[in-house]
Amino acid sequence: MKKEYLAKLKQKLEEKDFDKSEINDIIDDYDRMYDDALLKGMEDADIMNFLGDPDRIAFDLCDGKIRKQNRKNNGKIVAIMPFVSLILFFIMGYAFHLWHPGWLVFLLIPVTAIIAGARKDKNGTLIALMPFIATAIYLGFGFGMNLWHPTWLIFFLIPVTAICSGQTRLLGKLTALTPFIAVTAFFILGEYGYYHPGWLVFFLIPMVGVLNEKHVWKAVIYEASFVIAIALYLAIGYLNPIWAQAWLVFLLPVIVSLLFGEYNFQIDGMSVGIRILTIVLIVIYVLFGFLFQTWSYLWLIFLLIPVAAIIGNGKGMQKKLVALSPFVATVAFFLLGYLGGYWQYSWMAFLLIPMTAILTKGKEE
Amino acid sequence: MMNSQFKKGIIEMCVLELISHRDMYGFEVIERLSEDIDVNDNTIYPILRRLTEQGYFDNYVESTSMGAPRKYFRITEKGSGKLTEYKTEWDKFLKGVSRIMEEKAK
Repeated sequence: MKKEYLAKLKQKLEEKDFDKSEINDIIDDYDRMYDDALLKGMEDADIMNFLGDPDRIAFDLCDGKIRKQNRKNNGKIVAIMPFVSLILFFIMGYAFHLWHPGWLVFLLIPVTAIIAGARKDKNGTLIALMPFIATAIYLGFGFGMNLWHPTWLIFFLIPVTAICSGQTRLLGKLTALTPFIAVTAFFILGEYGYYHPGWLVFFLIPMVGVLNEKHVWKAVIYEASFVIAIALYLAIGYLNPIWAQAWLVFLLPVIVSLLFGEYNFQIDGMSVGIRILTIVLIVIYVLFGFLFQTWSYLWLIFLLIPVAAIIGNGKGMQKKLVALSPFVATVAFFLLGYLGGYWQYSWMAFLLIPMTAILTKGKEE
Repeated sequence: MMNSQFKKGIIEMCVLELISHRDMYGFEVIERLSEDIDVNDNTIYPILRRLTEQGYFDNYVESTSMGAPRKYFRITEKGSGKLTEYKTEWDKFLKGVSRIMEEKAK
């Protein structure tokens, strides 16, 4: 019990950004006081009540003079930043006629607030800063060089940073990152005119996923089936121009999965309806791809899979709306950009996500 | 219910008073105070620590026959000065309150 109590206290102190040496000193003191209470014959429950709730202790210890001063200084910086941004904006505008993209200096306001509020959790700060970093890079390239597409891929930095910070296993990180790597590679290849057969990079996702297989022999067979299928597909397609039939070679990894009895698309607990939808969508994607060369944008239909899963679950309407907003935003963003060529405006579709969250939060409360 | 900041101020004075009589270790201070004052919200250790940071106490460690060595709190000259200041304010406050209460009784 004592160990747990001290561990909880330590955790609360770490959350409040205490120095390591300070934490050790406080923990030593509580360790001694706990021992003294035990010597007095007190029970664990009474001691914990006597010494106090770790959360409350950490809060009260925060009230110290030095920490107060730091918070005060940080608060001043955050408070002054809107004025600094405004001054910089006017200087850039009047002196250098850089009203646009000079308005980007206003990003300093939230960025300063995040940095000033930063605790010891540096990863958390980086994750919080990433949307601003990505937006600044995106707008910089967009307005500066008119490279809206494929610069929008920079927004992948947001989930990628979160994945890199959250996962501890290298393979776990790689598995979670593969979809972003695949989409990025796909669009880069597409920019050079290789949407087809560039879409093959999406095989990276199951190929890396299979590396998590416990049995090495199974993983080897899976990987071999993918490599053979891809090699055969390219060989058949390039040697004889029969791409339309060549995709049949991909039945090889499907057969391997069926033989292992694990054909579940890597999604645990997937309902029968979703499985059928997935198969139908794959068929539509491949069919339309070969018939009408729709590889580069028809992938959007795969978003219907998580959308259907969200609609089908038992959560309330507000939660569903919040969960659906990223998909709606992605579709709007991509269609406006890709089909309409409005990459410079389409990014605003992503504002739907926080807007939906704010509006529905208000309703819930 | 008594205002928590007000209560903290009073506890701060009591802690200074107790340790001005003799050096004490953390548990001892909490135990002694809880005999006479309701200190369920356990703000005593943070107060002890803050007063030490402010230079009103200093620490020394003394080994014991049982368990780990104890950290003792000893009042400093600055702490004694602060205690005198607190006491003066406290007396003045109590006298003021007494006068108001007596006036109400009349």
